[in-house]
Amino acid sequence: MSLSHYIIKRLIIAVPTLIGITLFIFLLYYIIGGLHSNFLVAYGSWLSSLFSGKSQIVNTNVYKGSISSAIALFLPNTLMLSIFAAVLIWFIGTYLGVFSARHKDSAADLTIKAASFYLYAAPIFIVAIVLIILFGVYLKILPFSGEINPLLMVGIAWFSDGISYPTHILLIDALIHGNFVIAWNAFLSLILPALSLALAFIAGVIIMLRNSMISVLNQNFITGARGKGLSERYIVRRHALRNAIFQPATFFAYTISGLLSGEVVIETIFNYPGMGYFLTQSLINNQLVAVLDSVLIFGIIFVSATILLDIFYAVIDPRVRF
Amino acid sequence: METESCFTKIAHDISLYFRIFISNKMHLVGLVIILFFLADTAILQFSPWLVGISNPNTLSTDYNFNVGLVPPSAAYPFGTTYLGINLLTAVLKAIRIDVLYAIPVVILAALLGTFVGMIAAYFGGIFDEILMRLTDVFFSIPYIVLVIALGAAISRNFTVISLSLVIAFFPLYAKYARSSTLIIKNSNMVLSSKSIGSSNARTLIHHVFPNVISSSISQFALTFGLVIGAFATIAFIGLAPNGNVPELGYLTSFGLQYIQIAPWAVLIPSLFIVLLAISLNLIGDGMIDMLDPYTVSVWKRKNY
Repeated sequence: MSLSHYIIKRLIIAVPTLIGITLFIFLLYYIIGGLHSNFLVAYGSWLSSLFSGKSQIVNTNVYKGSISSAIALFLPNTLMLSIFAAVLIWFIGTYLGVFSARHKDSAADLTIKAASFYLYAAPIFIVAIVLIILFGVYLKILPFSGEINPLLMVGIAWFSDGISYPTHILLIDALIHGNFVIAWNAFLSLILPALSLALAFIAGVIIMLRNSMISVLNQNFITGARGKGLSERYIVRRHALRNAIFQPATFFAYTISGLLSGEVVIETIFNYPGMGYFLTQSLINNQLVAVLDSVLIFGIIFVSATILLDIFYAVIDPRVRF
Repeated sequence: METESCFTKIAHDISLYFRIFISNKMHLVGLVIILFFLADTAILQFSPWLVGISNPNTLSTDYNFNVGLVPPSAAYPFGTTYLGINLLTAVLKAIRIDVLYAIPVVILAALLGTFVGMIAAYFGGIFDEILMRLTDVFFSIPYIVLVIALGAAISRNFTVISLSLVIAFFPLYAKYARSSTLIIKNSNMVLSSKSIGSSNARTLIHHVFPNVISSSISQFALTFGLVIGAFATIAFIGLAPNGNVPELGYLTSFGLQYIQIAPWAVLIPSLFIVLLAISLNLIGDGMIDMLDPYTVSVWKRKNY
């Protein structure tokens, strides 16, 4: 079976889960709305209205308009935050995990190990609070509100006309329009949310990678590579890491659900304009249709992220045979 | 060995498990901290007057508008927070609320998950497919999103929040139970039970269930920590059902506006959430060590 067959098979497996998610959400609609027609008929018409893009109006403190344009506005920001956090998790996590394993039982290793344990155990909002107190309140070097200072945006033509604001991500749009001051400020206000979201998962990757790296570094083929006179750096990068990386990679796939939960929490704490913020704002303003539509979006994000990661592992891991 | 009775054998095993558990001193630290939290829960549940608290279920009785924000002192060992609430008594009350809501969630999630995973693997086929796809649906919705969805659809109260957390955490146990049932299903124990004509229910209850649940017991403490964190998080981001329930995350959010002038009002409740989460993680680690067959066999060889 080739890779394309595997991809098609993986997509087919996801279909029942997606149908299950829509059924669950529609069941909740049914409970709220007290719809009187047959459940399946009502489900069918709801599903077709989803596909035709007809959407209702949502009215919250932060947004008024149709739900579909709300999703177009908030979803890209969530993706931006997730990708930024994922990059931080991957690079910091692998770097420190390898460092810790290579300097096993040194003072630096013990510090990293203890810090990872505490960061992994503590709820994500506490990590956010500590970072806000440290960087935002005492050191005053990073902004801790996800929205940029409104004074900066006064008189910016492309921001208000709604057309030249194509991605809805301030950082990218400011770069497209060559407005580097706004881009820099948008980047700064992304750092604390992304770091708070990433730290717990960085800790998880470090714990996993440290353990698997230590056991790989004790294996015979590494001793053999050392015997050939290869440099330690080369051995770690080309031989050990490639064998040790799969356990943390699998861990990463299992944490997507936790990452999305963290996304809701972090966006709410930092007022970051993403789907999670939209979800909690809709709940607070009793916009139930908007709440359930956002839940559907989160389910779809989860399913697509798992499919993408599975395909990615199939490509990188030579042991996966389709 | 022949004179050794069954009870001394059990006592010997328990002491062996305990020695494995405390072989890492941090596990013991976690256990001691949790015992303090459980003692607090028990005292406030049965005789709150011992610590001078008359109403452990409410927060509004603690409002003291004449006090304001006081840093930790002799009169207020943890200081006070917004509305002059004495943080010491508020934290003592909140620990009990969090522990008492989290325990049933963990037990129900473990039982439901084990039941679903066990019968899915035991009967197999299309039954297995349907149950596991259903489990996947709940696994795909992040727990905060699930709590929000059910809260919006049904009602925002602690019962609904607890049930949503059960739904959010059972898939984990279902996956564990499914994989261990698949192994046990073809063992001699189950085959011989079937061969003497036991019903499926009898085989499941007497032979499969005890083995499956004992392999997921090591996850209990870890889930307990996650559920406590989930309760605190939900209350912290403003989804608490009402403002009168003392809860650690909710207390943290109380002090948030005054973070610059009264950092203790945020840091003290958060410190207790972190202590709970970390000590439960330490115990979880210890339980994984203790129930790991390899570690146990190494220790047995050392001792006999």
